[in-house]
Amino acid sequence: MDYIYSLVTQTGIHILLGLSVYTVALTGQVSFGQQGFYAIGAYVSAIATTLWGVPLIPALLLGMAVSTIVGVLVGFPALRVKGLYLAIATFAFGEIVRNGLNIVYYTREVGGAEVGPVGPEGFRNISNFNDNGWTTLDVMILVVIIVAVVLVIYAMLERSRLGATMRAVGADELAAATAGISVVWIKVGAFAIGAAAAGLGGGLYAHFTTFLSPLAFGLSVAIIAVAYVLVGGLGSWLGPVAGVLFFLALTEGLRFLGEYRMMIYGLAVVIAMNVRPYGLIDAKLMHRLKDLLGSRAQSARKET
Amino acid sequence: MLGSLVDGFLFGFSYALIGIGFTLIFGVMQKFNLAHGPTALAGAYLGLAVYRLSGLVVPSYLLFAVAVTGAGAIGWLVYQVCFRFLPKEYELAPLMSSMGMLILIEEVISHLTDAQPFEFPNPLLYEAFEFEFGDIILRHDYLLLAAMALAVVGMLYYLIFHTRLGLATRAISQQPVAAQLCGARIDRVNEMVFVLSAGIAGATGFMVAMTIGTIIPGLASVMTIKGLVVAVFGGLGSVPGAVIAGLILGMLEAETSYLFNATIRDIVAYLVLFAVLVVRPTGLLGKRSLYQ
Repeated sequence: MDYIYSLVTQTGIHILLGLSVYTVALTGQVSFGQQGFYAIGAYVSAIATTLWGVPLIPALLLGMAVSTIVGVLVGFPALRVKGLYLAIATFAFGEIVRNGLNIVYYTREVGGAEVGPVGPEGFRNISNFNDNGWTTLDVMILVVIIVAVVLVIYAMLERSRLGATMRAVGADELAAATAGISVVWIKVGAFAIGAAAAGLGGGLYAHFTTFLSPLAFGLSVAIIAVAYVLVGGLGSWLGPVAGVLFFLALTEGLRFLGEYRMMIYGLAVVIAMNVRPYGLIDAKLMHRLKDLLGSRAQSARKET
Repeated sequence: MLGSLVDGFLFGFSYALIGIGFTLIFGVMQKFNLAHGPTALAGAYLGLAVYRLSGLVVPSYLLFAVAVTGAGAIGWLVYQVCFRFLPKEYELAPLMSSMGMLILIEEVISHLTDAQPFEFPNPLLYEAFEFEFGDIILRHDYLLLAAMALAVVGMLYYLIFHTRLGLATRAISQQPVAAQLCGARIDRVNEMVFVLSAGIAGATGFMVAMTIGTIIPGLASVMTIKGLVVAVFGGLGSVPGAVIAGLILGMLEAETSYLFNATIRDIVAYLVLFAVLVVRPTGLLGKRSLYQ
């Protein structure tokens, strides 16, 4: 059972990562740098719990806050850059963070052992869950609750004026600006929200794995986070969730293939993009779903 | 200090060549081909395979030809599988499909080679193949790499400005619809440009493998990253931009790793890239009108 619990936990954390790319993508931009915020959230909250003795939830919020602030600071200059140029600029940010972690040394003696990030060797013994006697099931429940709350917030965001504004900027910046939308603020805001989601995911990841290494925040995380969104689709917040589940099904379902697994994985992505180029849950499918649900609701009303 | 600068300058030509591959495809299609790095590496591996299977007798220039044609064929395949049938106006779908292709090619290579590093034949790696000027040593293979890069740029210049294919390419990159109305076949031109850039990738992969001396499957994604960085740094769609950016990146990396270490080198390189993009959002020589 522990295996299933940690699988669910990982899925939840990756949904947060996918949502962070999704938020930026709503405004029409692709970011290959969300793993940088993920790393910042992870390191900050882990330092808070292990070195400073801060309780878990405030530590997670602190990690979120710091990555949000960094998100705004990076977002302002970076969003001058657009499209595929921005994809590379944000990737540069992610790599700066990852390489920066290689020169972060900050250890302190806690309970007779030296803990803290040690440059390229990483950050061992993030034992908050263990110290407080949490089982894998408890961790899973915590992550599920947090992810559920975040998803509800996203569902509300999507129906709100802000969500519509973000989509408007994504669809046509010039038209949105003409309609009186402050394009810069919406884009920086989306960047900040995305950074917050990634920071939260990073904090959970740090405490779940108990060990952080700068190597864990490289290109592969950047690619998979973007893949969740593009394979899942940009039609609704269900898109990144579908993307995460798609890749989860691939990695778990193809285990029997042994060393051929990653080959088939690559091939599956190629095929998925040929069959559904706009992602599994694209705008068209969402319209159809809404029509379906809408007409049902109407017919139900007629009957009564 | 000066020696590492010269080495960096010469090795920068390999960055320039990879960047050119990305910039060419972006020029006609406004898309990224993430499978470009693996294509280059696959070319090098094909050359290596011929070399080893023939009992280490085939001369390097023939292996080079194998690498170029093999990579060209792989590029054609990548175009068919990852680009041709996807919506033309949506640049993110082929970004993902070519990412899948990147994983696929890298995994096939790892599988066939058991992920072991392989030594790559380099006929120019002896002391006799060096020029010495004081404490600056010029390796012949680096010089050959630079010469090849210049030859490729010359060839591209001729192709783009003096042939019908080049005319069609330029027309499509300016006005796809109008170009089509004038009889340019977009699919055909895209295909040709793809095969051309894949051929250049094969040549680059071969030369890089030769100068490094050993190859591992992991080089594929490294090449993709370097190529993207160079193409964006120089300005997408601009061949001279890619060359300048490649040379700058080569020198910058050589100098910073000489003075500090690999971590500082990467931080500095990406900081410079970020700063350049913030000041000039379309790279050094990129055209504003093309993309904004």
